[in-house]
Amino acid sequence: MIELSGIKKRYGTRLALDVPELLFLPGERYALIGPNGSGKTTLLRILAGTLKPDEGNVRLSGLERGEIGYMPQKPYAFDLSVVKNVMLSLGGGEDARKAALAALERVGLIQLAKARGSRLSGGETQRMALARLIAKSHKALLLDEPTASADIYASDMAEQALLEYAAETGCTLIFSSHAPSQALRLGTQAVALEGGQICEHGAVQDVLKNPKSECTKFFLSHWKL
Amino acid sequence: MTGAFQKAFDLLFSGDAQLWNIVSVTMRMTLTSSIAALLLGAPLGVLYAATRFPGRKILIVINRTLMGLPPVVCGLLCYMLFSGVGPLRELKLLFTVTGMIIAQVILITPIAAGSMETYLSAIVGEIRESARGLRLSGGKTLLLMLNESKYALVSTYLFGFARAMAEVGAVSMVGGAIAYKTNVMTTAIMMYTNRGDFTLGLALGLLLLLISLIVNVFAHLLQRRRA
Amino acid sequence: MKKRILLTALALMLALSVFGCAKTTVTEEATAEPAETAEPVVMEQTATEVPETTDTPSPEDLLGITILYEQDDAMINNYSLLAVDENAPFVDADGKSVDDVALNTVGAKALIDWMLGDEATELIKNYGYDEYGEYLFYTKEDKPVATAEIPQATDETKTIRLSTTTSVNDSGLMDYLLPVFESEYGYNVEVSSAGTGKAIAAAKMGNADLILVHSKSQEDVFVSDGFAKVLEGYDSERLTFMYNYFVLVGPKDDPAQCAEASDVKDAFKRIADGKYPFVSRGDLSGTHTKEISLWPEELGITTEASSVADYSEWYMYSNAGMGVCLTMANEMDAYILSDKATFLTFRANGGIAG
Repeated sequence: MIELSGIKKRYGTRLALDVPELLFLPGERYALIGPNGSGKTTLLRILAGTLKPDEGNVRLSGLERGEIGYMPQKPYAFDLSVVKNVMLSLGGGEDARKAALAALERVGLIQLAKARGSRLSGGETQRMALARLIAKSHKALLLDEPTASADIYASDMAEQALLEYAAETGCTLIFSSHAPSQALRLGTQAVALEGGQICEHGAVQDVLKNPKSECTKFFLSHWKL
Repeated sequence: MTGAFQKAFDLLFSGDAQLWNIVSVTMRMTLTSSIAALLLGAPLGVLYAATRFPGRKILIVINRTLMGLPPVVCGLLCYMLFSGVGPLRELKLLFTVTGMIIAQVILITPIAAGSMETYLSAIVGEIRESARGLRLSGGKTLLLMLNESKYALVSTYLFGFARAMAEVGAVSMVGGAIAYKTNVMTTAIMMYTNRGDFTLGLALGLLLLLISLIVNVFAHLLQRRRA
Repeated sequence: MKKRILLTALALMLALSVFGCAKTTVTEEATAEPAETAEPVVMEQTATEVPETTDTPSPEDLLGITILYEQDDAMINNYSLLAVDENAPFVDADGKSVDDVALNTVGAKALIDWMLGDEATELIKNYGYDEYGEYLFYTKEDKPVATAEIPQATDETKTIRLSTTTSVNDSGLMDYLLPVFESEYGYNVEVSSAGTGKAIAAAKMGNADLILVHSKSQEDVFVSDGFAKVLEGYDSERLTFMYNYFVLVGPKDDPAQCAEASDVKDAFKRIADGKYPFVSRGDLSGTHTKEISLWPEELGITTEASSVADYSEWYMYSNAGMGVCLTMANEMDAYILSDKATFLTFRANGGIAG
């Protein structure tokens, strides 16, 4: 379980994130939705520990920092082979290699295993970053727009891989998305953000099909579900 | 002009002993200076880009300022240090190639550091974020960063090499352009031109360009694999 | 990829050669007949040169300027050797005195003794004759005579640092003389050259064992400041042993008619009166200081740039080396005072044209 309390983060004078209380329960899959600049990335970074909030703290129970994996919005593809990229957090050895290849298989990149990581397209890089995470077991995964650069086919493969992984390991997923349809497909819970504040959260069906707050309604009005 | 170029080529291939001594001193000095500057400057640049320590921002500003140090000023400072009455006179570095190398290293190290810092600071944020997300250790992250910058290293070195070979202000002061000892291509060009012997000056200038071309072609081939 | 590299290299080579060929031959300045005009005052040792007239123009013809006036007493340039005194009042940058300046006094004396000896005297007298058909240096009849035995070099005394001026170095005399000395006695002479002021300053900073310069006023200051010493066997710190002349060079048609002048000061007066273009070194070198001494006093020309501000339409204060200034003079058909050796080298190379 991950608990956020009294979190405030400012960039200059702008209050980018203001979350008095938010709870992430184990095993659930949380979709963070909202327009650009609503604080989704900031929230994920604070959860991941790459950003420190100005006020408030993050409490972990039942898991440690080391068991949380994070995929940033712009994952970095190192100038190594794709499979070596995936093995980065696994160490060396034959077992690690096997796990890496299996992960690549799941995201549909197995044919590029020997290719140079730095030469991949945006969508391929994101899938490779995903493979990096699912090659290892985690208790929670934080993903910032994990399929933003992918086409429909690739996006589909990535989502399938994520769902399988979550089912197999029972890990908590917290991902941001700017497509409510993805939230419906992947998530069990939804958290709607606007201007750094949570305007609504709850079961994904409730939030997306029967939004209660104005800001959620406005955001969803642009999509046909 | 054709006549001058013709004479220049003739001289180049005539095997003139003084000319080839000038070339060999130049190469010895240039290679040593550029490599030393790289060995000193590149790690500095990585440090500036990749780590946070108190006073880092000040050091970066100082480094940038030193990048613009006029060679002749550096030469003057070294001349005064190594002079017969200077504080470092015991080292007997005036009018030696070693003295010239030292002056050049002072000039080029900040440039090497600055070049690496510029290249790395553009990617260090993203690298860090991904590395953090994968829970990689600081040491491993640093190694990855060095791997990412290997092509930057080559272009940084080339820049330093070019500066060393084309430099004249510092080496003429510290070296004294002594025949068969500290006369390099640039000081020789200046000397022959001042004498009115433009042919030899031109020959050396062409040779300098040719060497530069060869080095750059070679480095380009090395970088072939970059996307 | 390899193809691209080859193409680039080829393109570069092509560009170089095209650029070289694009500038077609000579800018037709020397329209007048190739033969030398107005042979000036002749002294015993001057050899008149006979330019060969062939179908291809000789380098001399490619130049618009030539020697118009030389060998006036006012144009004499005396060269002196001075040994640096190891007990001189050396000071560092802060003004504190320095006691342990390393000097090779044995080597300095050896070189001076040799330069004043018969072998060197012969070499100096004949220098340049084969190549240019002219004598570049003359030895003084009353020069000091060396009597001491010159010691062979030892490890400690092997390296001799000679500080001299750019004009001396550019004349090539050192390249001609020193190898003889070096092979006979085993020394290694390191010659550093700079403008007169800097050459003397280098010695004052302990960076030279002896100096060879040609500016009496500055030499006298060097002596009175205590930096020179009287070597054993000689009477004075200043050992003046050779001389040569500056030459007044100008356009072949000589609009100021300098060749007909009564003396060099008259020639300069003619240039000033007619406001004919004149290129000055402007760099406080020996040549520059000599040049300003030849102008009529009323003009008030000194080494300062401000003193010639009013004459800028014809007097060019360039602050550059001899070769560069000669090029300027050639291109602008201007008059210029030059040392003879540099001018001869310049002429032999056809200047920059062609």
